[in-house]
Amino acid sequence: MSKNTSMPTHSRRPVSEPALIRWALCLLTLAFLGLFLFMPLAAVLAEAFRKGTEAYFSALATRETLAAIRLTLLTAAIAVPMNLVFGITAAWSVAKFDFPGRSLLMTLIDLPFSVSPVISGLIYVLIFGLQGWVGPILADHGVRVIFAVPGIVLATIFVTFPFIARELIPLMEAQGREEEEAATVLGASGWRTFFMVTLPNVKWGLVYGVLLCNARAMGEFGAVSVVSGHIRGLTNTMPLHVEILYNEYDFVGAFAVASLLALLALLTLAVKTFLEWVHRDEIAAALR
Amino acid sequence: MSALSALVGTRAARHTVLPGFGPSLGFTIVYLGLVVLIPLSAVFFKTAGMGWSAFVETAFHGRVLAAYRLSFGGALLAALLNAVFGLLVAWVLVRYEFPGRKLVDAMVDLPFALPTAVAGIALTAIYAQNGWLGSVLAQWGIKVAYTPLGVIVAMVFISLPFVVRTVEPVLQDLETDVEEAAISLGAGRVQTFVMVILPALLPALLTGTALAFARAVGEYGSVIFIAGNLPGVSEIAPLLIITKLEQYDYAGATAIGTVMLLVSFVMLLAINLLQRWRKSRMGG
Amino acid sequence: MIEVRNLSKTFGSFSALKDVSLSIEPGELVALLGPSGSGKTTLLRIIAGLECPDAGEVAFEGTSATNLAVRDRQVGFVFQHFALFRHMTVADNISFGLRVRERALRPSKAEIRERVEHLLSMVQLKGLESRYPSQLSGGQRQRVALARALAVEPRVLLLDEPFGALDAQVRKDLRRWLRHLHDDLGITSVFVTHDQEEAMEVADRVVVMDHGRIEQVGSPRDIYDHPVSPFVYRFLGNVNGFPCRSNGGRIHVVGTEMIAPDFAGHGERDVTAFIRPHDFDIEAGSEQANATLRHAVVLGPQVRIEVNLADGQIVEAELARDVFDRLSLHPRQKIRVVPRRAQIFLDDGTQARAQPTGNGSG
Repeated sequence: MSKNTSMPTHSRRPVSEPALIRWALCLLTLAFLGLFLFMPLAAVLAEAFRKGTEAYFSALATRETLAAIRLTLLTAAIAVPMNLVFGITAAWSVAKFDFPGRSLLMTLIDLPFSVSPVISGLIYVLIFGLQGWVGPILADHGVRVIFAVPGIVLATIFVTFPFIARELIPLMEAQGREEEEAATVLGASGWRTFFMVTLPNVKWGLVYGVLLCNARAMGEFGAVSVVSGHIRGLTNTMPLHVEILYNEYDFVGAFAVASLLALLALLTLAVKTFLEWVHRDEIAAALR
Repeated sequence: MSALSALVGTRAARHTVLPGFGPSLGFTIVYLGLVVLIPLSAVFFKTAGMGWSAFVETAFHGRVLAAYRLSFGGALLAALLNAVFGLLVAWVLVRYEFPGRKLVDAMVDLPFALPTAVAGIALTAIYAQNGWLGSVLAQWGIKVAYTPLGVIVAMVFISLPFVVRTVEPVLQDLETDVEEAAISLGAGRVQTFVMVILPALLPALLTGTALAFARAVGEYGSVIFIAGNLPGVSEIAPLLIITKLEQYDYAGATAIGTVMLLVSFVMLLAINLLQRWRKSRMGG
Repeated sequence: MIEVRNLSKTFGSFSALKDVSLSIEPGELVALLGPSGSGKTTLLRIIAGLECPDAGEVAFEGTSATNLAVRDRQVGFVFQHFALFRHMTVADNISFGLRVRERALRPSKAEIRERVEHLLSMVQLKGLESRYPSQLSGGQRQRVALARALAVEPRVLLLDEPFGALDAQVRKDLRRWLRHLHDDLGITSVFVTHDQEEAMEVADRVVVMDHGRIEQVGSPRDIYDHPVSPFVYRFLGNVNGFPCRSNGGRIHVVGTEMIAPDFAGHGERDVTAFIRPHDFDIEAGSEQANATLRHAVVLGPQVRIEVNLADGQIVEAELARDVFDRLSLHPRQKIRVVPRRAQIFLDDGTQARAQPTGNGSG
């Protein structure tokens, strides 16, 4: 969500707490985060390797696991670009222009964040299910959406819908319109202005938005679970596969697949932190 | 919809020479309508079709009420817990320097990035009776996994970053001079915190707590593994929707979905009002 | 030549420009001067094409620019906060306007490099071409913005508060430099400012604006010596305003009877008399003292004094340093203050010049 541009901490400020309290607060924080953040992560790895590396890799190499990985990659490969295009267009219209209803539009863009993932799946069942609005018509033409790949993609698009727009809008708003106006006066066309001036100014926000969107697209569980039908090897994404393996008491398998997803999460955070660190001056300048 | 954007477009286009307003707004509204608004409206149409008494009967009978109580009550507790600890985490990350601070700061976003199912099975593994923490707690007779307590643990995890990430930037922007002024006027450290710092953070803190609550209420993936899903005891509302769907009881699922959706909208409204309040108080 | 005809523009319920017309000669350096909210920036942005007027039009060399997009107007615009592209180097900023031209019109890479070199030396920034805007001082950014605008060889250069974001000293230097640059290049230029000193020092012609209207257009000297309205009077430099009554053109101001022959035929009217600080004679040791010296500030060869009249009103006056020294004035001293001339305005804006009648009645 919101970006953390780490500012230098004034460690030796005259106005501060006694050292003892500072240490106590630090330790309390670390204990809380250790309990809720680091321990689950460690648990995933510990459980995945409980029976050794060989069991870990053979659990990953099953046909069904590979199919789940393929489907997850396919879903993300469709959902992320679509929401990328949407996010950029939405941010351009909302951040660079003033119009009545603008704040309502921003609220509506945020809507999927506050909708339960289960409901995100449910709405597509209501529309594309066999008892739904257009489901029967599509079924007559041999098109299946629910309990098939299209439904999974649709539900994923819904839940990852706001991520990129959400990152870009505040950034583009903060930068104002002057640079774009300057480019226009200098003779640049709309597209050129966008690609040479607007986009470079928000590129790190864009990268972070895509990363988060991708992480969520690959990891979405609730919404996809509703529309997937859990057909092994066909409509099983990685998170759903984790559930199936877990419910079959194949804990090593479940945690092995989970470890891949955890790795993806860590990679996302690492790239984000790295980008922020490398480009901290630029980010600070962009937000100024 | 395109008529609307065209109308709005001609009026707004006069304020700036930047191109592409009409097409970009038009595309935004159409995409938003197709992906979000029309599908969401299906829930209300379906509910409207089932009649008031049938709706009340499905959406508010015993087992469902217990599920609401757990979803809403658990989310509230988790949000409050995160309000306290989130404030603490934000404070420590902004104000103190300690080894590993950057790593901890980066890791706070983990619940945003970690798939919920992974969080679910990991938390279950930890808190199960033979797990790392579950075995310790069991000695004192505390059971977490497969009880309502487990539901709250999962909700705390999933909504952890919200308070931290809303409070952190405000705390960073808070000038030290107001604290110095308070101290120079004779206030103690605790007084300064309660009378100067906390009021300045309050809008952000409330917004973060509301966001955490909204997220925890609808949470499914991380909860179902640790909850045990005992009807009337540790069964959350989103799970009931799934259960009804699996029984092809679309109307029942939709009725519960409507209630949850309405609560989401109320939360969204509350969060918007909070943010407006914040802006008016902070002058933008 | 730029022709502005009957421009009007409103933002919501705020009327920024009301029926404004103006013509700007080729090679002129014109200042749009006015307080904030007077519509000067809106006028500049409309000339550039960055705003569309609600009514009226702008013409360049006799052809209407109404249907000419900003990018085709060939104007150079320098933004108040410079609007430099922060992810581009100084050289890339300056060459931007050339690089975005369509291929047929785009100069070659070597030509672009040459042009950038030339502009850099012109704005005295040689050697800084690979810096980023964030690594420059305010004055340097300003000059990059100017070079970027000049790179496309615009037919008119428009500058929005060009010195507003700079320190006082840098501002003074840049002001002089801009004037010289204009004299060298001869490019038609319009700049917006709220600083009358800046407008007076730099511009060939000053356009004074208030509340969306043009109050007066003229050379700096003309405007200072012959303001057409109380507003212009007050806005250009210090002035003392005395509300009083005129009977047949006779008024009593600062204990002095004055007469405006032009109003001789008028009956009794409420008027305002304006007297510039340097239009007072100061006498010390006079029997007819009418004021008390409160405060004196020496500003080089000039001394600015503040005096209290008997009725409590405060008057600001200026006198030469040697006069001040000869009179050996000191605070709380009783002195006599006599206006040499005044400008009288009726409520409807008509004005007349008034002189003391000579019979110094107290």
